[in-house]
Amino acid sequence: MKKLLIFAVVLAFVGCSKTQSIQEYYVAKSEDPNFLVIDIPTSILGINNEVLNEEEQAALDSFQKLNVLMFRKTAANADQFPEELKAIRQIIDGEQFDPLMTLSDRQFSGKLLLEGSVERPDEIVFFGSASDEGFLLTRLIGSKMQVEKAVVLAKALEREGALDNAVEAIGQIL
Amino acid sequence: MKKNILIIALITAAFSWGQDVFEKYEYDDSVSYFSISPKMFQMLAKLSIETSDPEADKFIKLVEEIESFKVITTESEDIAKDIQIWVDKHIKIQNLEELMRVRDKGTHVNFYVKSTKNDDRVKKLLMFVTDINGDQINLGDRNPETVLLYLSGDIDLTQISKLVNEMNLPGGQQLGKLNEK
Repeated sequence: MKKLLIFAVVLAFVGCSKTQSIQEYYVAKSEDPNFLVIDIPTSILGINNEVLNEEEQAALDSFQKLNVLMFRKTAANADQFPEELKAIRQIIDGEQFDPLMTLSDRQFSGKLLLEGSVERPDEIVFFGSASDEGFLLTRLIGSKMQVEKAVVLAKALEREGALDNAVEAIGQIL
Repeated sequence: MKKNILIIALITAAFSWGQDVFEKYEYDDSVSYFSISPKMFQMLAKLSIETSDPEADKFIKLVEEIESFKVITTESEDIAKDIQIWVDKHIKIQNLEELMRVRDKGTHVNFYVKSTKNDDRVKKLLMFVTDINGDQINLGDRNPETVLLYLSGDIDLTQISKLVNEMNLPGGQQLGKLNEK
């Protein structure tokens, strides 16, 4: 069992090495005072393993965490903004991700991307920017996420009042 | 020798394909751009959303038949010209046929399709709207010079006319009538 776990960890690392560019960016920026970084594990939902059925549990396990990175544009860092925007766009428009949906309109642009297969993505990214506000990068990270179970899972979470737990937990963090 | 020419032709074709106007102007401030990729449509189909509203169900069915959806609008004359060039080239490369041409005052609406054996269904639909005076098309607070809509998949033209109407773009009504003939 332990061996299996080690194997899984190694595999996860191998899998991650490919995603290093965005991960590296993320890690580098978490030291930068211009950025706000929030890491939300799915465990924040406070779901007791016993209340979920097997299908729901497997679906939940495939989602691991939500990473949020924000650049707030201020008078002090306005000069830095175009550069930062260019850097992040290079990463998300790179080969690592496949775009799902794009919307851009003058000052605003939003993009939804995915890494991995459509059936079992390993990461779903939302990137939004507004030229006078800054930008936001949201990454939903998991392993072979069971996207089609999202509806089933949402129902289970609702049943268990998980969203209330999450809101409470996030409130405590803040 | 022949092989070399073929390879060069292929590379050129691939290159010109890469010069997609949609992506080229994606981040341009004088452009509005919206696209849904084939992967998104695959994912939506997987989610198999069900509603109790028959109109919405029809719409979902329409969505499931589309593979890719792109629309770009611009108020800039230069970009409008560049889009025109791309459209002309693309029609030739992809061998698209003209389905319909509508002219209403200063507005020109051209539809091009890649047809199938079934008259109601097309593989590709390109709708190109140019509005010389910029007063016919109204999308919120802007009056775009040019609108280019590009769809691919297994598309039911009768349903698309509704979509075009929904989006407040010209030509939807004519497109609907075309199928009543």
